[in-house]
Amino acid sequence: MEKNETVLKLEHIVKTFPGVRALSDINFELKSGEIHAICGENGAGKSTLMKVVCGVHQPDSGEIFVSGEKRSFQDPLEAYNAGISIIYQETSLFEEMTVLENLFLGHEQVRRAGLLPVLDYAAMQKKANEIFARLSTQLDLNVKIKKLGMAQKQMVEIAKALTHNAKILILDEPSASLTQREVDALFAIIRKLRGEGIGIVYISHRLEEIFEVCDRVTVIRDGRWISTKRVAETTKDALVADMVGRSLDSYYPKSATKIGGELLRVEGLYDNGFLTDISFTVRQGEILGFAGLAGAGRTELMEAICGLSKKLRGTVTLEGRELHISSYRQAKEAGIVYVSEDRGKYGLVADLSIAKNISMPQLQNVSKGRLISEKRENEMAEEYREKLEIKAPDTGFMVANLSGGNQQKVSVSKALALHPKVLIMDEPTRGVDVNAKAEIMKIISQLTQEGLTILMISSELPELLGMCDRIYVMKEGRIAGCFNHQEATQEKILKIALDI
Amino acid sequence: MKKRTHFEFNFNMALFLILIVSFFVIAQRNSAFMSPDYVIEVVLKNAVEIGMLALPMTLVIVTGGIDLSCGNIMVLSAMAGGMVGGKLGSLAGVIVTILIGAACGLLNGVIIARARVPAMITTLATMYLYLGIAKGISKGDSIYSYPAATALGNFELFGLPIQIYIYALLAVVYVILLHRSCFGRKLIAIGLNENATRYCGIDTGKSIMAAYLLEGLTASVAALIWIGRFTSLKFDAGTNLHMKAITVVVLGGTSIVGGVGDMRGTVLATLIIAVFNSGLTVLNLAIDAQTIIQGAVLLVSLVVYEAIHRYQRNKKLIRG
Amino acid sequence: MEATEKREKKGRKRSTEAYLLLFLIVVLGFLGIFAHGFYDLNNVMSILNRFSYILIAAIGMNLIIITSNIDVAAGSLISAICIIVAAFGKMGVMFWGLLPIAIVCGMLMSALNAVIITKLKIPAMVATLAMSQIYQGVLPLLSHGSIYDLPDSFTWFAFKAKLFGVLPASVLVMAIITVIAVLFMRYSRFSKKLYAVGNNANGARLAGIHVDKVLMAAYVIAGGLYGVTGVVIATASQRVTPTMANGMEMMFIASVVLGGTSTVGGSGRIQGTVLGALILAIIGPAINYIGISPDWSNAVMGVIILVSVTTTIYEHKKKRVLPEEVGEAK
Repeated sequence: MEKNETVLKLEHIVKTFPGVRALSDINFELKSGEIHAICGENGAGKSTLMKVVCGVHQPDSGEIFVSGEKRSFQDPLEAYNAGISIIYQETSLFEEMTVLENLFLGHEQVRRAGLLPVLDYAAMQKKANEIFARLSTQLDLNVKIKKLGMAQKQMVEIAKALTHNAKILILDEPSASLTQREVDALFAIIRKLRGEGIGIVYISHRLEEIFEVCDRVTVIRDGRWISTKRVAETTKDALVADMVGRSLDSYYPKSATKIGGELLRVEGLYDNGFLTDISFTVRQGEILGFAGLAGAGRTELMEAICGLSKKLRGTVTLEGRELHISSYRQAKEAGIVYVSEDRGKYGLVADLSIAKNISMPQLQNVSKGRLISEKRENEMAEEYREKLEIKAPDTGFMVANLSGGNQQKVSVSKALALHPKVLIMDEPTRGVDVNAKAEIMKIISQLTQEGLTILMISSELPELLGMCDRIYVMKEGRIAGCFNHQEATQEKILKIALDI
Repeated sequence: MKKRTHFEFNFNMALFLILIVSFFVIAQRNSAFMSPDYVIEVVLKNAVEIGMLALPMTLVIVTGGIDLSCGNIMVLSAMAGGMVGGKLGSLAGVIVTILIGAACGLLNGVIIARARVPAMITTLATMYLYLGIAKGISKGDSIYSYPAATALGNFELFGLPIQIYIYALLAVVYVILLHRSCFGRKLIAIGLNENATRYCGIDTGKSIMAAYLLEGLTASVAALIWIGRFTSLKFDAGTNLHMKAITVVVLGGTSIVGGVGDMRGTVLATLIIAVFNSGLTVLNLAIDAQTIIQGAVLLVSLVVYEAIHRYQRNKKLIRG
Repeated sequence: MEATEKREKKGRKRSTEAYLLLFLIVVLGFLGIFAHGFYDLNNVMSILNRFSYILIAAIGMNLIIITSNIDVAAGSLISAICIIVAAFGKMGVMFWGLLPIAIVCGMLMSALNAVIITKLKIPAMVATLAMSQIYQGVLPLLSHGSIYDLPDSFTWFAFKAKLFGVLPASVLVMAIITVIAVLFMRYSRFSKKLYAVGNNANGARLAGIHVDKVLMAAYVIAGGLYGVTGVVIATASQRVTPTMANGMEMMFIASVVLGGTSTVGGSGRIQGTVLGALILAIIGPAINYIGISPDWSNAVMGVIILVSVTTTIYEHKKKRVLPEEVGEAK
């Protein structure tokens, strides 16, 4: 393969999902023998872009060129056959099958034994060993995938790509679950592959890695291409400046609230191997923000506080009394309520009505005895439908038919109906259109004026800056920094989140 | 949602129509069918046990599970009760029946909810186990009824057999349980999205266990009536009952994958199956034809349900 | 370090089958001491015959379970085949004619099940549950009850065809089929597709595998094997009833699960099923020989099945066995 030949080219790629414009006019170019990073905040569009390249999504408009030839992929298999391989964070390997079987699934090598085609294990093992030798790795080919660690699984995925003679290798946040030593090993491998002329796309937000191993870096923000630079010719600060810079205008400014004394205190919280020594306090009426990159541990922290997952050590104190929470039910009863970031999976039961979803955590409060009073249920739902301006004909409407924004309002109503003392909101405006976002923020603001205390996890820095009294920044299971409202800026937060 | 209740309402009506139509069609062929005595003695009485098994089965299927062992729970508890009742008296017999039924149901529930073994495999295995135990304790012989059971099986109040009152009572209780109570709501939510239900602070394992426990208990009540009615019982008497119960539940409009349940439909479907069964006998169709029809009814119900469901879903998407 | 890791990994893979073998040896030893007459020639041959027909069908069931499906109609299907075979046998057809008839019938009936599952999208459990009812109902109607007075040509296979004068011929058939099955699962591309579908049907689809075709193939092969089992069972009796094999699916499923295949799908080997079927074939008669009434054999079997089903789920859930130790790269 010629070096510096353009091996992948994207021109004017646009992709829209219902209500959200994920990619706008993206241009991207990858050369052979290059490691090209794609960088951006959560939700910037990196994953969506790669899914378009791999045939998982089809672009609404724009063109894809592979080695100069215009291509269009209807499904992942076509992209695969064109020499494009992607390695996701969640590997797509078959857990109960061996390394060798996974490497060659769908394209096993056969030989003839008499008249019958028979799997040629010797040939496959030889090829596999050659590939692993190229990667300077040794793995037992007959081990089931489920017994491997994350780093090893990645190795298998890379090897699998090589069995398909991949010319373009895309790595999506590959270092997310690896130790430093494993990351070094990974770098050695991709440098080697670069030397062989393979074009590598390295999606990551870890700037130190980008500067260590990549040749060029492209920044994407809000689905738009921002810049492409040679790594040697730029600095981390410059990249951060490119990544940041969403306009603050469209967000509802937080109104001043009287802040009271300490309400909730978390001390020395550890969970089973990831969260380390988390301590923080929240005061009455405060909105406390939690910033950090995906995987930093914010959701895990909240779930550990609420009893949705086990914590190893640490205390949670509410209004001066220590809480012993071992199940979410106990957290609820103590006044701590959690609104999940994943509406479809954990937040709502999509095939039930608005009213039934809102009443679910407190069925006993809408019943007379053991029987549900639909009247009370509907009254409760009506109250919140008005308060949060949920756009639906009535509260019997199925949640699955609502827009993302309205679904989120139902999710929030469900939590508010419990009259919590502390409300934990995990990505409250994810997948929500601009208008609904503003409405939700307005409601949150009003609620704090009425005395509610809020912990807010968000990946949208302007949102945190606009709404929060204080912001904690998390990185890799720890609290890495804290800012109050006046001193916080997007750059400062991002730098700590990226650990510059 | 308005559209959903509209469909449910219509479906119950459709079932009711099928019931009336089939009744009269059969009655036309054989006028003996229409006499009240016949209706009570043959049609209704024969449906009571199946009907009673189908009521809690609806709850189990709503959670996304299934119980293939219910017929053999019924037999085992009837046998255990019969053996004890013969020696230690009626009260002991009744108590043992209920306890065994509860224990069997509880075993199912624990394995499914706590050990997380899929319901179909668990109840396939326990179906076999309970059958085996029944065979072992009875040594293959028949077990005979005892006074309390005989009474339940045959006693009449104001002209109607007492078991029909019992069924009617249970039917009402179960309709309320599924459609009006907190417990029922939880089961439906579990069937639709167990994770989201757990994230509301609801102990889903407890609710699931309760559903299987209820199946066991109700089966034991059916057991009392059954052994009373037939006077004697052999260990293999319950082998196809689970099929009939599941057919009834699916015919009644409950989704086999869970999350959607129609207890009123189950009751109506019980009556329909009762009419079919006795009607086919009256029309001199062999028992085996009835079995085929049963299997066919189950298949057809499943296919039709799936088709309607998909049509509905597509319609929703178009409306956006 | 690497060498010990490798040894550890190999050891864990063998463990289920090793335990089964150990269990089997213990049971056999136990029977040798306490069960008088268990090792009589007649009994041993009878057990081997039982083992044979159970294993043949269990291999078919194994394929189906690997794909994460199930087949509770197997018993009724085999009963149907028995009657069909008997009907032809009564007309004088010899064993070598009966065998292909049975295999073809088994394949067709099983294919019907597969169509319902793949095209009508009905879950395998209920689909086969319904079909078993239909087979059970159709059969007696067509056969008007049992078939009697079968000619000697019919029972030749079971009564006359013996290896070395004593060994039932069914053992030879079973051995051939087992060897073919083991080789097939090791050396065919199809077997990899089976496992992939059972592991992750969507992932398999994305990798280019025709999931529906794989399922159909699994059921059809199983159906053919059911046919062989049907012939073995039918030709051993001079009277064939329409309910002969009803309920046998339990034995097949139990053999598979006992052998270490998880009901969730995606894993499991024929070798394990062989041991599972052998253990189950022995336990039935063995119970009688150690003095427990044969009425309890079903219950004992039921306990074994329940325990093995519950423990294989635990095995399956215990995913990560090795520590996430790095250090492979050099």
